[in-house]
Amino acid sequence: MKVQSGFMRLKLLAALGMFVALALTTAAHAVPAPQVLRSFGSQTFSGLCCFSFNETVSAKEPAKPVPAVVTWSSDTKIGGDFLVGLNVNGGPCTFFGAGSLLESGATVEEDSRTLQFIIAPEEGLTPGTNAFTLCGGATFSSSATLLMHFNVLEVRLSK
Amino acid sequence: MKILSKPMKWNVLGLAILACLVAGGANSSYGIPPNQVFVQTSPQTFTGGCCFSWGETVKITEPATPMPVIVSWSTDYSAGLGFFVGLMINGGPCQFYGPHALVLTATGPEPLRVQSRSLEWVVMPGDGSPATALHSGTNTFTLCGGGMVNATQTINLGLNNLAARISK
Repeated sequence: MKVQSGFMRLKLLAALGMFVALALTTAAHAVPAPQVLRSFGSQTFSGLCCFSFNETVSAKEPAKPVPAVVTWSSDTKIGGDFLVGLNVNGGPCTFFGAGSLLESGATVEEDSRTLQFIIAPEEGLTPGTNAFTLCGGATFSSSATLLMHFNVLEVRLSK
Repeated sequence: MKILSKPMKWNVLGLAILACLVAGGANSSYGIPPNQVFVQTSPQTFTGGCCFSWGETVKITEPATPMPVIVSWSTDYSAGLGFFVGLMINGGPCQFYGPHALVLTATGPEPLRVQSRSLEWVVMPGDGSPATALHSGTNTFTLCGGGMVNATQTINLGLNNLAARISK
C-alpha cells in the first residue's frame, strides 16, 4: 500500500513537472507585441468597415487595470471616407475616440493624420498583457481606399 | 549651550526629512522636465526645399541602455505647397521617424487657410549612424523640414509645441 502511494506521488510530481514545463514553453512562445510600432512601408486598405489593419501594440496592465492611451500617427492618402479604431484583446473593432478620416482632395498629396484613443479599464482591459490592434474600413463605399505610409502606433498606460 | 535636547533633535531631523520627501514628491508630480518640451508662441516663416533646421530643440536623458523615444509635434500652419517635417537627432541629418507630410492649405487662388496638425515620431535606439544615434545621457531632437516641391516655397507656423518622452 505504501509502495503504491509513493508511486502515486511520483506520478503526481511528474504530471506537475510536465504542466510547469508546458506552461513555460507556452509563455516563451507568447511573445507580446511591442509597446511602440513603426512601419515605413506603404499599405493600402479597401473595404467597408471594419477589419484588422494588422498592426498591434501591447501593454502590461497592473492587477487593477488603468486606462490605456493609444496613439496612431501616419501619412495618409484617403480615397473615400474611412474609419479607424481598435480591437482590444481580439474583441470587435471599436472606436475609443475620434476615428473619422475625410477623403483627401483630388490634387492633395499625402497628408499626416494623428488619432488618439483612450481605453477605460472596463472596456476589455485585463491584468497582464493587453493587445491593441488597429482596425477600420470605409465608411460608405467598399471601393474607398486608405493608403498608410510612415505610420507609428504607440500605447502607454495612464498613471 | 544646548538649545535642543536629543529627542528634539531627532524630531526636527525627522520633520526635515519628511519635508524633503514631500517637496521631492511635489516636484516629481509636475511630470515632464522642462527640457523635454518646447512651446513656440511667436509666428515663424520658413522658406526653402527640404531639409533644414527649424530651430526648435528638445532634450531627453536616456538611461544606460537607451529606450525608444516618442517625439510629438503639434502646430497650426499654412502653406501654398506641401512640406516635409522631420527630426535631427543629436545634430545628425534631417530624417523621418514616422509621418512627415504637411499638406498644402489652399488650392487655387483663394487665400491660404490655417490648419492644425499633430505628428508623432518613434526614434529607436539603433536609428542613424553610431555618432548620432540615441545614447546614454543627454540626447537632442531638433525639428527640421522643408518644401516638397521647390526651394522658394514657404510655410507659416503658428502656435506649436514639441515634446519628447521615453517609451516605458
